[in-house]
Parts: sequence; structure tokens; C-alpha cells
Amino acid sequence: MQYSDELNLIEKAQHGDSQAFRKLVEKHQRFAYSVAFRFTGNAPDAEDITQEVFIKLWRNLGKYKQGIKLTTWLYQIITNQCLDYLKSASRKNQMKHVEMKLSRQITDESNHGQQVEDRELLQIVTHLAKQLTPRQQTVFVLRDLEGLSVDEVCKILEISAEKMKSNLYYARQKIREDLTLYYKDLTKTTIL
Amino acid sequence: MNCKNAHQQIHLFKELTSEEQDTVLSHISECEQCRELAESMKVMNTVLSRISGISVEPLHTSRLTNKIMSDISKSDTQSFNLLEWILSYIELRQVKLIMAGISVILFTLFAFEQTRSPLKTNQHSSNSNFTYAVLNAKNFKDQLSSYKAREKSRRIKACRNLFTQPQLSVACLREKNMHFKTF
Repeated sequence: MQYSDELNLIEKAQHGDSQAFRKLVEKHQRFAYSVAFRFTGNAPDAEDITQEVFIKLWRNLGKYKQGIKLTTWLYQIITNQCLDYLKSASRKNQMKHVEMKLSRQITDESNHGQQVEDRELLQIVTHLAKQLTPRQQTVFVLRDLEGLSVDEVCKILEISAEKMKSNLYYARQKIREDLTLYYKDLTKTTIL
Repeated sequence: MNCKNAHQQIHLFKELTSEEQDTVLSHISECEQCRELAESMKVMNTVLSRISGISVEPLHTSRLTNKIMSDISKSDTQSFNLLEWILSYIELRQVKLIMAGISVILFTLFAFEQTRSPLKTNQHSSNSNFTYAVLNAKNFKDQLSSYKAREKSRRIKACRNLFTQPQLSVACLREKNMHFKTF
């Protein structure tokens, strides 16, 4: 879909055309779900966040300014939604009991060894990231898993580059240490 | 460069300028501990680059789309939300200014009323739980004299008919608990 086509759909949706909005949902929901999954690490919560994100998008379409990529705006909405999710104390408690196992969707869809391994790695890293503070986790997901630039992350989170780097440093340090421990354990188990 | 600085910069290697990267690399070539750290970061970066390309999809894409669309139509048909409507207007700059103006006027009226009141309340400085009231002397005096004048006039009226007979008028005033001298 071309940028002009997308803009046309946005304009129609701004005037209440739900079919035009449906096309936007169909185009972007995989992306939104994928980002949300990196934060939550589980399918039901990622689906809930995706739903909330598009409802917010529908309600705030009037505020959309031309020239801004819809994905940039979506990133901002998803990140805020995920930050709220991470900050909620009840979720924090739940996270402590999350088991590190592959979700059905991943095992079902993955047929090749390399893919399984990568998806397993994603699960492990997502799980390890849950030990970080919400802000550190958000910076880590956006910069290292989503591959956004420093400027983009700062813009989405509305923080300075120094603050962003400081959070990123602590996040990477923790993930590196945990990954090293995880691999050491894994090696021990394999040898035994 | 010391190891402490290097430790942080190795973690933020991708975010450094090329000159800063050169400084870190030169430190790594001389320090074994930092070289080990850089190696483990390299491993982590490989892991991250492998997983960053993975796109996770919802189990049933079309079902999720339908759910979203159904939520949207529900939210559209929901009853008119007065609070949201008010809040949306509060976001307007003019409305904010009007509300600020009203607040200032109300505060001024409140402060003015406080200075006019015959009673003033004070918070004891050393004990915040102890509150006492003092008379706003000037206003209280004015109001008291005005009250006395009104009361005097009322009583005179009440006894007016008896003034033709002085004894009765004195008795009347005594009965109404008012000393003769006050006249």
C-alpha cells in the first residue's frame, strides 16, 4: 500500500468510514501485535493491547497530522499502552509466575530448526527483559528488538538521549548477565 | 580511559561516535577483562540481531480484526459520555483561560470576604492541631454598635405606648431586661 493510499484511508476513516479503518487495521495489526508481544511475552495480553491500541487510534484519528508516518504514531500508542501494562502491579505479580515455555503459535508455525531456535531465543530474551524496570524494558525493546534509532526512541518516549542511553545501558547489562548465566546453565545440562 | 568508563561504553558501543568507538577499541586491545566483556556483548548482539527480525503474528488474524471492529462500533454506539465531552473542551486554550480567570475571581472574593469577616481563624505556629479564633476588632465593633442601635430602636418601639405613663414605661423596660440608663 502506497503512502498516498494510506493517507486516503486515514482521511476517509477520519470522516467515520469504518471500512477504510478496517483496511488500516488489517495492514497494521500484525505490526502492532508483534511489538506488543515483545513487551508482554504472551499472546492473550498482546491481543488485548492490540485491540486497545486500535480503539485509541480510531478515537484519536482526528488529531492525526499529515507528514507523520502512521507507524511512528502507532509506536507511540503501543508503547504507552505497554508501559501502562508493565507498570500495573498485578501484571508484575503475574510475570513472576510466567513459565519460560514456547507459546502454541510459535511451535505450530515453526517447522525449521533455525526458526524454532530463533523463536525460542525471542521467548528467552522477552522473559529476561521482564526483570527490567518498565522504562528500561521499553527502551530495550524499541532500540534492540525493534531496531529503532536513538532519535526515534527518544521521540516516542519523550525523553532525552542521555536518559535513554542510561536506561539502555542498565537494560543491556542485565540482559547480557542473565543470558550468560542462562547459557552456562544450558551448557551444564547438555553436558550432563 | 579506565575500565569503569569502558564498561559503560562497551554496552553502548552502537550509540558511540566513531572516535569514541576507536578509544574503546584501543582500551580493549590492552585490557583482557574488558575484552571478555566485549566478547560477551558481541554474542548478545548476535542473539538480538537474530530475534529482531522475527515477526510474531496473532493466532487468528481475521478474528482479531473482527474483534477490533466490533469494539469500535460498540464504542460509537455507546451513550454520550458527558465527562469525555467536557474534558475534550477543557483541552481548548480559550476554555482553559476562562477557567483560570474564574478561579482567580473566586479566590479574590474569598480573600476579600476573609478580611471583612468579624472572626479570623489562626493556626497556632507551634502546634498545627490547635486552631483559635480572634475578633476582627474593627468590623466587630462596627457590627456590634449597629446591632445595639437596632435593638435599642426595637425596644423603644415596643414600649412606646407606655411612655405616657413613666412608671409603666420603666417597668416595661425592666421587664425587657433593659436598664433605664441605656437611654
